[in-house]
Amino acid sequence: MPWLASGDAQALLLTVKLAATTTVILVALCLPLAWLLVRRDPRGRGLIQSLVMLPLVLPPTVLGYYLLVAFSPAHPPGSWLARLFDQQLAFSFSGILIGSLIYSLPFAFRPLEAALQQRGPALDEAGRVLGFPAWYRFLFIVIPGIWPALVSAALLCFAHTLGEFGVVLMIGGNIPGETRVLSVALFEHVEQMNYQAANRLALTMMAMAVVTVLLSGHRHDRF
Amino acid sequence: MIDFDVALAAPLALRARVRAQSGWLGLLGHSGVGKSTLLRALAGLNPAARRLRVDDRAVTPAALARRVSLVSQTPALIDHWTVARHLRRVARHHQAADLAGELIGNLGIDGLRHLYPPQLSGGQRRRVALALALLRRPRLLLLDEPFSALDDDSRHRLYPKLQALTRRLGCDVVLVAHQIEDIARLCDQVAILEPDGVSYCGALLPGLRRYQGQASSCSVLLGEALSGQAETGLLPVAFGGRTLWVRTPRLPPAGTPVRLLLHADDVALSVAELEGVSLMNQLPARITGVTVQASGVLVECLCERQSIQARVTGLSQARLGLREGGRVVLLFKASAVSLLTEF
Repeated sequence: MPWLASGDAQALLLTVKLAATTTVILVALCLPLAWLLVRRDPRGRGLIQSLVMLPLVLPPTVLGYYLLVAFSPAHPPGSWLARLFDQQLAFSFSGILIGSLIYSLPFAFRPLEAALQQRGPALDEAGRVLGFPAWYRFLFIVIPGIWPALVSAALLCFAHTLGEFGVVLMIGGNIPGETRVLSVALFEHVEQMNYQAANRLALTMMAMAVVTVLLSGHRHDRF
Repeated sequence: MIDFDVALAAPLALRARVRAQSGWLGLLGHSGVGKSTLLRALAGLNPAARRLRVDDRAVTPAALARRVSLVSQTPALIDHWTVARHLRRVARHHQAADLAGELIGNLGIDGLRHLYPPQLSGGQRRRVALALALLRRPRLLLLDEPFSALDDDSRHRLYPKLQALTRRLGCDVVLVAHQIEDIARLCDQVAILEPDGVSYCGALLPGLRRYQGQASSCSVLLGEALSGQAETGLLPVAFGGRTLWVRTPRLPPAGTPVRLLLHADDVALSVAELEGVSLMNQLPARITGVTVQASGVLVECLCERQSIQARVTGLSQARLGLREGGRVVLLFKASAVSLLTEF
């Protein structure tokens, strides 16, 4: 008998797919957003920072509830979203992806903004003194310059999405291959008193968390 | 032509308007008056500049950043790039691969290629920054204390190379240097920056005299080298109708016009010529001004139609009865005079 039952292996794959997609999208989105806030220092910066931090303090079930309401195809914005994604968002992978993006946003945004704030302006100025244009400075000087922070933001974001439960359960339910992620599968095993499977899943998730933490604790300074 | 007009509100209120000939322009001013701030604005690094005009045209900071190179006191380099990568990327971006080899050789940075900026000493960092600044073929090069981390020997080797390079690349230079000696050596013109603007912009000697009248205390003298004797290291210099003696390891060919620097603290005064002393230079002069300063009494003298300053204590002033219009003899050693001219 394999270590994980086939349903659980499917859940593992789905979870990794969800976490990886979330991480890539969030890092790609947060880098320019954070850089814009640091460089321009716009008037509404404090408000934007607070909004981005909101998922950190909001109970996941509350977030999930509002998303569920918003995804309802009976009225906007759910009806627009349904047309845009050509499917109903509640109880779908796209739906839980949107939920994860919002839920993990602070974990990607905060370390990136802090690193950009700390090192970005000096790196940018060094690039400007050497005569490089703004896009070149951002892509080839600033981003490589905050590489360690970028790696740890990505790992944090990935790890945080792995363990997501409340939001997924509210908006995704428990559809194998579509929304049944590891934490939901674990919950199901415990409810059915299937403790051996639960134990194996829990151990798997524990190992993944430990590896992620070890990786993010590793210093990436390369000089 | 060096022509700019800058007005800033932050980090300090500043208005500076300069029009000068092409070449090297020294920027003088007391510390805190905004010399570095002005250079940063001219390099396009002050996005909040209220007024930026170059060659009588309004320009944006970004446009300035493309045409102007700045080497600041602590030059900004990219910590995660090696020196070689800096050179390669800047050369590629500005299509200057042909120039890179020459600059690397001239500025002596060949051995630093594999190092990262945090591994460089202050002087090495500045040499690398200089090479990168010139590699961009700027129209205007701004140098903020570029030599302060270099020892005398490296400076003397660097000056003529730098002058030749900027001449060949056709770029004008604005130099801020704490050491008046550097400015006297490299620049033909100076601008004096004061809190309410540029109070002087023009030829070197009158500018230095005007600036020193306010603050510092050294004299720049003009003369013509006579033929010296290499074994003694002494160079006779025709100074008006008199001869000055200068101690220097490098003797210029006879007939070379030379610039000399003499610090006021190295000049003693006497009411009559002395006999039986080792001092090589004794110049009769007329006192044109006596200023009491915190650091002593600055005595301004005229000798062979050139101005020389001496600093003495208040006690000596009283003892010798020094006053405007009086006659004195200026005494100084040959080794107190530095030869500024490169040849």
